[in-house]
Amino acid sequence: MIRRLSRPLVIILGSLAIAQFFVPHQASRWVEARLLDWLVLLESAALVAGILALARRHAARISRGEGPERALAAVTLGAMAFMLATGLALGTGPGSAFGAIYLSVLQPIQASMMSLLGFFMASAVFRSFRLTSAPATILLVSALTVLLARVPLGEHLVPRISMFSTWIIRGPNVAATRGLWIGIGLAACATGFRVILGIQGPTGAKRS
Amino acid sequence: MGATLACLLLLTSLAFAQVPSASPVPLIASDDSALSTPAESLLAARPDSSGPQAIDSLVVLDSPNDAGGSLDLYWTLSSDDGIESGAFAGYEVLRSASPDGPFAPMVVLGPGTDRFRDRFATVGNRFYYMIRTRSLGGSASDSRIIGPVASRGQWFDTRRVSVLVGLLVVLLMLLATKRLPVDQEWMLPAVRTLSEILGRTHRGSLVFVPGTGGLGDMGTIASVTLLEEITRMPGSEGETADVVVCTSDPLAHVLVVNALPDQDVRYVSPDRPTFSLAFTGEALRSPPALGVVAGALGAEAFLLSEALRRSGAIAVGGTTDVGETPFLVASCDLTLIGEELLLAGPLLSPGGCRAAALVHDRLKVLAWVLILVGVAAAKLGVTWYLRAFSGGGD
Repeated sequence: MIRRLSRPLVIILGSLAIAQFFVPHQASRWVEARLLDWLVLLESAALVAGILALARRHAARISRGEGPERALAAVTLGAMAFMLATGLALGTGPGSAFGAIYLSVLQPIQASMMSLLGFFMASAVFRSFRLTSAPATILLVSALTVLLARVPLGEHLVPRISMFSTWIIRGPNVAATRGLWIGIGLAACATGFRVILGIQGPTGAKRS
Repeated sequence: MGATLACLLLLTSLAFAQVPSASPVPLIASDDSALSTPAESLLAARPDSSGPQAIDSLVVLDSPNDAGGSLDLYWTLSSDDGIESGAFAGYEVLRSASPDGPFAPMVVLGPGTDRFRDRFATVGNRFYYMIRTRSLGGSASDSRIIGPVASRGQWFDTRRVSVLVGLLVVLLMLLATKRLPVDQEWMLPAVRTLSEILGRTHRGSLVFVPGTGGLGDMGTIASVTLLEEITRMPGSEGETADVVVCTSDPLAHVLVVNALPDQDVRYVSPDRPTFSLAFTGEALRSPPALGVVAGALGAEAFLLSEALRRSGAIAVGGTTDVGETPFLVASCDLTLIGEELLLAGPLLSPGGCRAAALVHDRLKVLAWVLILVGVAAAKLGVTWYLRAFSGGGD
């Protein structure tokens, strides 16, 4: 029944979302606001479903798993339960224990993870910039030009390198980016219609 | 037929684009001329006969293409404006809910200004306007009172006619896909490579991340569509199930669970750094043979693809975010760039879906033609063509 209803719902709500772009009237804004309200409600329900799925998976790991898998699952579930209890018992406002744990534990962990980006970038650049083919050579020369132009030493070593760097960024780079955007825009438009019309999409669309 | 209709629609679009975007709303002008109605306490200077020349034409129009709540005022410059530099102070816009006042000053505009947009003209209310010309010496002259005028919302944004026509063209071409021959040879190189990789991979060792963005991003939709096709394609041993899917967005998680109830769908975390952390740990502890990270991605794209690489897996990336593309290209064995990701699902599917993907090529040809005509129009100074494609961005 729900699957049967989903198709007309997708068509109606999808069409409303498209129409909203062309109708500036307040009625259109009202519909948009209601749709966003529903989205928030759906997202809240989906978050609960996600958390339950997470808890179920880790509980299964604890009952079936061995060694580090079991320990990691126990830590995850324990942390979830602890944060839930702290938030419910002591509140989540500024200066609360919940906020303090978030700021002093989770944020440093996240920052550490994101700091890996720099190291990963260096190793990826080292791998990518190898003279294996003509495109790779162009990539290497372009990247080195832009890199050198960004440091004072670059201008000292190669006079007027910043001019070439600017040309690369404002010329070929912008042209390629715009080309990508045109392709993405057209494909996104067609993808949206395919989903709304049920030609294809992740909502139980009909198959040819 | 589709192409003919497309051309007709485009011509209609261009014709519409020549129509002035502002649709004047009939106004009722007051019969009172040179009526002086100062607000009791707000106006420092009173109009007097020695003031600068009052403006003789004031027009108030409903602002076009908005939800209401805004009125546009236009006037001709006072004859004293600019003649004696320094003596003319500017124009004061005054508004009242009644022709008898009191008129409250809204803003003082400098010399040379001949328009003002009142963004506080609440829908449902009627207003009266007056422009007071001021000199530096403090003298002032009032224009006629114009009103009542009311703002109202419009039901169609005329600046977006070209966008509407573009959408209709895409829609018509999609609906006409049944007539398209499904050319089995036509395939994007990146999608063909992905198809070959998938054919050599055992599904039980495939990890898929449908991006970390929400369902509002087309990359997520395209990614889940691609995932559906992957689960239908037979693996190296003919199997079609057992793809491990790691999700970040709650709605995307529910969508994948519903679309693919037989798969191992794992909700990890809505927080992107936390998701990256958990995914990296999983990938390093249980290395997959193939990892696909495709969809709406942010800075974590690089972390996820590098984690796959370090685990020894074949890393396939895909994003519609142009900014993240270089990172995926640098770290992945294969990258689906922009439209390749959006078309990968349809191209890997049989029949009508695949034909629908072929429409993209025709759309690109059409886009190229429009761009070339646009370049010619810009060179020749044909501005109406360029305005037609401005899209009415705010």
